[in-house]
Amino acid sequence: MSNWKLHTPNGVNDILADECAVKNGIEGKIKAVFAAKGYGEVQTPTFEYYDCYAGAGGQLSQENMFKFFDEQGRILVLRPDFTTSIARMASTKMSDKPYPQRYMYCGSVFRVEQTQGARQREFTQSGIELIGSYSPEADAEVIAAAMDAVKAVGINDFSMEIGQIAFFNGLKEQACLDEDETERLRERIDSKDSVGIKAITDKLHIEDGVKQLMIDLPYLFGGGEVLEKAYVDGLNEASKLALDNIKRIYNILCEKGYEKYVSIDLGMLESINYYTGSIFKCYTHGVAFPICAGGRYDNLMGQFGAPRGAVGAAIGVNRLMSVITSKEI
Amino acid sequence: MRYLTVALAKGRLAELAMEMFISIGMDCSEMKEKTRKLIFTDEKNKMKFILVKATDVATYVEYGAADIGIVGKDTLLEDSRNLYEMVDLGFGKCKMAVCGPVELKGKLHSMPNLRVASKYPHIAAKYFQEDCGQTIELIKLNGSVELAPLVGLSDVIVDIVETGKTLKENGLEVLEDVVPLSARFVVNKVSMKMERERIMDIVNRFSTMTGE
Repeated sequence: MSNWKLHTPNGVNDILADECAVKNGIEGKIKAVFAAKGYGEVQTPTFEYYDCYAGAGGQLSQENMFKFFDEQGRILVLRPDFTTSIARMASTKMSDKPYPQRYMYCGSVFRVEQTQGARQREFTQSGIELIGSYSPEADAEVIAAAMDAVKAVGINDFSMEIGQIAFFNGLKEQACLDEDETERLRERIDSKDSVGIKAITDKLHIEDGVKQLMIDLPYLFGGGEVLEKAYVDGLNEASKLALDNIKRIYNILCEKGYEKYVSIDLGMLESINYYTGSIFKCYTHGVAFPICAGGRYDNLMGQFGAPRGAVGAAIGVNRLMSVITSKEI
Repeated sequence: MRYLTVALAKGRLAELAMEMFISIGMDCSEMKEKTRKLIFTDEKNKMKFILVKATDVATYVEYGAADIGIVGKDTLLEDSRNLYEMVDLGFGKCKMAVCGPVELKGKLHSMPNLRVASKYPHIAAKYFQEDCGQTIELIKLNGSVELAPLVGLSDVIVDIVETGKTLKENGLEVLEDVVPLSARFVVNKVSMKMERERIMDIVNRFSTMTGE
């Protein structure tokens, strides 16, 4: 028998004094950047009713949450992310205040992950939510703020990839895919697997231009020029608007001088179900997972009673720590 | 320039993959010598090749220990890793199939408690439970799977079929095809973004070679 009292459970770690100093330093720098841009810090409870997160899907699916019960037998979960909690908070407590509202947070989130390598079950996220705006300026503001925060920590060699869920949703509408087919197609596109996509699209009765676009989607990544390739004949209104939207976001970021960091990936579809528009991920050398991720979630506020456009970003503090420590070595 | 690291599945797949890399101008001469080394370097092209167990290729790539991997579609389906699966290399072709005694042909989906033995429990479960909507009893084995129906451990097996010789010699037959398999070119998601030009160059050249 192992002596359990000497060990920590799978996926959680002690953070010793040296590391803790590095971590506090990173968090301080990130928060200072966000605060200077007018984001006010909030704290939400470490656990919430399961109902708050039910149906989020993807990385926040039921299997990925730590669940327990209160004394009435209701299901509680350790928060798997902040965005949902903050949407609940803003919807239920701040809906009579003027919009847009800007929030920032920093704290632990908990997910039941396969624990190997860089995946932890408790990790720190520091991020922002901009609530009450549907405009691409808001997306650009949040993405720029996230990049500024990454730079403030001392990482300058990174790539911010921007995708657009609404574009894929437009294509899927046009192809009249049901939920299962959509999920299968989404997964194949996200894996950049043209063979798998072809197997699905061969059965669809849609215009050839659109069909070819689905097959090409995995390769539509790079600079602004890839957007032009996506404007094929036969796109529906939803897809066109989605492209216009991401183009605008990309152009604003370029105008602000972020051109060397940002690029487009229309084939990036891995996400959480609440995302409705732009999604983005930030990568750097030294860590095999995104250091920052986020997107637009226009339907989430409505689930809590105050429908508003919103966009947010979360930075993985532990991943930044591993980048910075590996640089020092 | 950083090294690009390629993880290859030890054995035949690695040899065939090496041929492809050689044909696009990589230097893998070191690997052709009889040696027990597991890591080889091509200094000119700044490439590293590592030899790992087939089922571990995707792990090395997902966690960024390798940028690129050559791996069978079977391992990808079984482990469902978070990586880019970019080219069907066209070699190592075979299929995943449900096999068993010929008497069961056509009766599989009407059997209430079908016992299925497999080295690939996820693929087997996905096929029966998701695609066919049938609840089954799964038995995970690690080898000589053909034995299971012969000694009554299971009714059928889900396994890779190449020539069908082993099946035949043990009195089993392919009852249903699950999915075709072949070697795939996989890429770590971060490497793809950070080393886009070099990786896409290899992807494009391999795609042309395989006629995609």
